Amino acid sequence: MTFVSPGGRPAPPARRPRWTGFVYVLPLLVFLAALFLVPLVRLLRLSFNPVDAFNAALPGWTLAQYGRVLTEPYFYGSLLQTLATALLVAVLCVTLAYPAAYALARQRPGVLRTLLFVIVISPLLTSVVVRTYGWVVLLSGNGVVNKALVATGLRDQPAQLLTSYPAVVVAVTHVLLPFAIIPLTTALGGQDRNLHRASQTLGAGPVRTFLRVTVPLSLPGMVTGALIVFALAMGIYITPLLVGGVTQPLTGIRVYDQVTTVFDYPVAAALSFALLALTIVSTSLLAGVFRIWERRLHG
Amino acid sequence: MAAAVESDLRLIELPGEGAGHVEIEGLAAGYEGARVLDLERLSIRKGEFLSILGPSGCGKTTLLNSIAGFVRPTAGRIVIDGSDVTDRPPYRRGLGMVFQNYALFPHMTVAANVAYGLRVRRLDRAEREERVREALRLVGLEGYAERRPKQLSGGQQQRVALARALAIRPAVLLLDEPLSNLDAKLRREMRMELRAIQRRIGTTMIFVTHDQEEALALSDRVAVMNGGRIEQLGTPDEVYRRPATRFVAQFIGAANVLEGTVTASGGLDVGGITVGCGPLPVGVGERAVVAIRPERIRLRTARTADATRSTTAPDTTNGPRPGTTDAPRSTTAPDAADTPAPARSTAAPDTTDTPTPARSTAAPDTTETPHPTAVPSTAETPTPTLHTTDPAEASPNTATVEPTDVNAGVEPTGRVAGAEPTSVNPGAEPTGGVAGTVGYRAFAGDAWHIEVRLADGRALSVQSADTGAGSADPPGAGTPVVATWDPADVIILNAGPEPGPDTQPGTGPEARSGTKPGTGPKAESGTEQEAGFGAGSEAESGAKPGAGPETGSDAKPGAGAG
Repeated sequence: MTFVSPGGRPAPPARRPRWTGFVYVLPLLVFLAALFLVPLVRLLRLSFNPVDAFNAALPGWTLAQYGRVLTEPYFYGSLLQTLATALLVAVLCVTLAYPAAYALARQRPGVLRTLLFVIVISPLLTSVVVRTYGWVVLLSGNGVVNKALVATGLRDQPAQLLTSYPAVVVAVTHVLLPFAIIPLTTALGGQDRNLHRASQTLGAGPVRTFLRVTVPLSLPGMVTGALIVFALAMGIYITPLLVGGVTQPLTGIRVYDQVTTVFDYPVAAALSFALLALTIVSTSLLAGVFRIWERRLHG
Repeated sequence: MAAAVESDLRLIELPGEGAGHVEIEGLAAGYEGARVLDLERLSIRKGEFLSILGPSGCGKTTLLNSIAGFVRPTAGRIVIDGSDVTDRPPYRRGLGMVFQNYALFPHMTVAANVAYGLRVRRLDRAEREERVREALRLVGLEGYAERRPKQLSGGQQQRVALARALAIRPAVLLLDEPLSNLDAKLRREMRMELRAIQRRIGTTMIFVTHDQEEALALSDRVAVMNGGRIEQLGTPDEVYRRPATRFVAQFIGAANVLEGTVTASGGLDVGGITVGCGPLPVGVGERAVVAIRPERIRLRTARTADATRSTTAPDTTNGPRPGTTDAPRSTTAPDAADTPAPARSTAAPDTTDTPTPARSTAAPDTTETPHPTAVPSTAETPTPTLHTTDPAEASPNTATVEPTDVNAGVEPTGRVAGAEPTSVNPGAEPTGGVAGTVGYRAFAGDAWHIEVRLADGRALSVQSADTGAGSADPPGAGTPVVATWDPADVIILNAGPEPGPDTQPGTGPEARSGTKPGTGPKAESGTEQEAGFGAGSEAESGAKPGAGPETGSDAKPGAGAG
């Protein structure tokens, strides 16, 4: 996946011959090959296996699994739903992250800033499962939110908050929010304060300065954050599973379902690769669009 | 760029009659309790180019930011053209500002940058484009409208920043060290250009810099700041020639500041060494602080004594120090190089301790031969102050010094009355001077920087114009020399002690002066100093008639360089 670096600059060309650089990354390559590439290839192979009546993989080659993925609404519907959800979550994350990043970037270095930064990135230090169970506690029938709703008289009885699609969107947004805040903070914090001052001396008030100078210059950070969140949201399944339940029409959950309850490994593999392909294509497209936009703005 | 004067004038002009007048009263500002700015009053006239000069941390940027509105003063008022802007946000002050790093909007073209302030003002498109064109023409960048800032060189970016600030026709333009990111050559060019533009459009400009050369070259007036206060406000000429305080003297032009007790003979006892200063407007036995510009000091090689002797021996034994006449200034002498070692050693012993006569004896030594012109006259001025105990009778091999043109911008013609080198009469006037040894010399292209170590270890910095060809190069390290100067070049700072953290190292009297901190005898010192100058010039004019025969020859080089 291509991420736009916050600076937007390409790396300087290396002067050394290529093979010396290769030596340094060799351990990493071995590691990746053993633990990532080999399983990936085996999974790819699995996606072309036919199945018997009991969904057990048979030797041979077939495109039947991909055919099912592309023709059955149960599968391709989930792909579309996942795409829409990931876009929605990316937009929500960047929107919510912007004020936080702005506050963080404007904060003078000191105890408060460090504290704020720790608060922002602390979710990353916690397991996704733990954070998601936090949402389960909040949203359950006996949870804090429902109790508050009932107590204030907004509802007569507890609402079905868990296993709802909005709850999934909220939880996923929460889980992925730090990934949007961090690049945005970098982009905003790196802005030259004199640019804002120059805008002000030229007569532009705070709002105009924000819209004409701050936002355009933070665009690379927004793009980076949005792309990271989007890519992660495409593949996320633990959080929607725990908050939304197994019936949520998201691809990750469908794959999980095929593996754990239907035991149809080949179709699960095919669905996984369909998701991977969709993620790569859509992320590249988004990056391309952003790149063009940025180029028009920054020259 | 000078071609487009007329149209520039038409479009970029003062917004109205009387615009651009800034009054600052009782301004104080501070970050987190520490006061970084404390101004009683600063009035900037309409159309003036005022430089605010000072070392880093002196509060000059805070002052500028207060005027711009980025720093909220804790007290005081800022009035621009009659309206109090102290509580106005920066975007309602109508000022232009050029930043040290230019602060061009990287996501906009040059034209969009310049148009930014005009868009804010909702000018219609035709007028906006016209003004952008004119502003770019003013800075000579007509063809660059569609470029991006990062496609321009530093100097071009600087011009765009200037055009952007001027396009809104501000009453006052603030410049925050705008030239300090440019290389030396470009900086000089931009300096000229900035001044030319300012003259053409008449905008009041407030220019913050730490570069004294820049400030002197550009400004109508210079405000020298230190510790959040204005130490002196005056024309470049005034702050250079008549520094009000020790700080100003040392910050601008790196003066040698000497503090000591005035002796009966017109010298200054600076603690073991007596330095000839000519008549001082201070009573004998009182304390005085004087400053001498490095480029005002002439050096002559002390020939007869060897270095250690001439410097160390005499000062302990006999206090008064040799100022010597400056007659033998002939630049010809290549003697420093060729003085034969034996000559020195022979001459040395006897001459060191013997007073006046020593001089005359010293002269005839082998060393003298190379100078045809200078010889005899030098020996004959036996002023009481300057016991020419120094055997070191000088041969004039040093480069003559020509001061004023070294510092660009100081008009040589504007010298204080009586201070012209030509008017000096070495025969009748006691000449300032002291003996020492060259610590090091360094060639800086247009000038030599020489450090002369005095007997007590303090250093005197000397600067002399390079005369080329090496024949008149100043003496090298280790050479015993006599540093002399015209008494009229002695700047009298004040009689009382002046607090100054940046005093010369290793001086005794300084410690005493440090005991009186926080005194602000600025006004006093100013008047006193004026008095001093009056006295100096008077004395000098009186001396004129008695000029010896060699004065004519002496005057020539000075006049040529001045």
